Amino acid sequence: MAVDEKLLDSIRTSIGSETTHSLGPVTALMIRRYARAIGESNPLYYDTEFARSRGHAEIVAPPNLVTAITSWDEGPAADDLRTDGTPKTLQLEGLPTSGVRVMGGGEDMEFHAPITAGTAVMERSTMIDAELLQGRKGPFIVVRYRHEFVDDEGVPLVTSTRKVLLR
Amino acid sequence: MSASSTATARDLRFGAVRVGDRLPETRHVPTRLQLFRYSAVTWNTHRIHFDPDYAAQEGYPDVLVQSHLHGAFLVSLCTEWMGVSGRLTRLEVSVRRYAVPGDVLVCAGEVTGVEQAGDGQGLVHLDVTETRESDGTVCAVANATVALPT
Repeated sequence: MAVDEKLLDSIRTSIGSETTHSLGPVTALMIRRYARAIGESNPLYYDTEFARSRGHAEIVAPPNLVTAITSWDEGPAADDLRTDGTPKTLQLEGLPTSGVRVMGGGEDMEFHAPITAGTAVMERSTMIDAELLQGRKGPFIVVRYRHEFVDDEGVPLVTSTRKVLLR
Repeated sequence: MSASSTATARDLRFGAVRVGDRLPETRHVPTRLQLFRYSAVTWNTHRIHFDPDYAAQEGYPDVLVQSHLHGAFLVSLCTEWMGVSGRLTRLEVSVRRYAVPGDVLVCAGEVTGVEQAGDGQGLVHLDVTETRESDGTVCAVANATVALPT
């Protein structure tokens, strides 16, 4: 599939459509394992008593945890993964699944409130825009998405604007 | 792996911060084990992060550090500096070059702006970078904002 105006037009049909997913709770174990994986020893991420002494109900998730998680469920069966290991069904709506290289192009995260263990998280995702640009190595498409993570009462937790590059 | 946290020992106040202040540098040496655990905990199945043979097919010398792990190193730089009373409110991050296990990644930052925000808080704006020590390659850059008590 060529990276051209035709592909851009097909992607742009998804601009503005919003999808909402219930991601389930951010568990204490998820927080502690994530903190361990990034090499953190901050007691806010491990020690309930310490977190409470700082005014939190429970231990707190490192700021970029929710944006880093690729899949919040069991994910597809092995037969439904591509040769690079990623799901055949891309989670990002409106993107082609073959013949185009998909890469991350940066992320702007606003952290509205700390996420404590046990918080049930909802994600609202919207494609904001897409444009075709000329790079040194040829044309590429930049697609921008907004992901709003809120709790089960709709209180904003994290908003992420993410760029995805298609070459 | 990274240095241990000193975040609980610091209680930084807005009035103590000046434009041009530099954050204490942090160093990270990601390992294949760390990348495995990061992929596992984020349920990221991309082979580029755990399969050296696949990474070689793609033209890379080893498995690649995940973009969000680069981001996490820059988050930690900010949270270590701000201490227990601060809150990271924004991070705009861009990964520019790949890194592989064994690279020494040096995170550094500088205060670029300060503003009163009301409610007993001030906002501090930071430019932060993650640089590969061996050749000076900048792997990731970010703008960050931290809220501190006045």
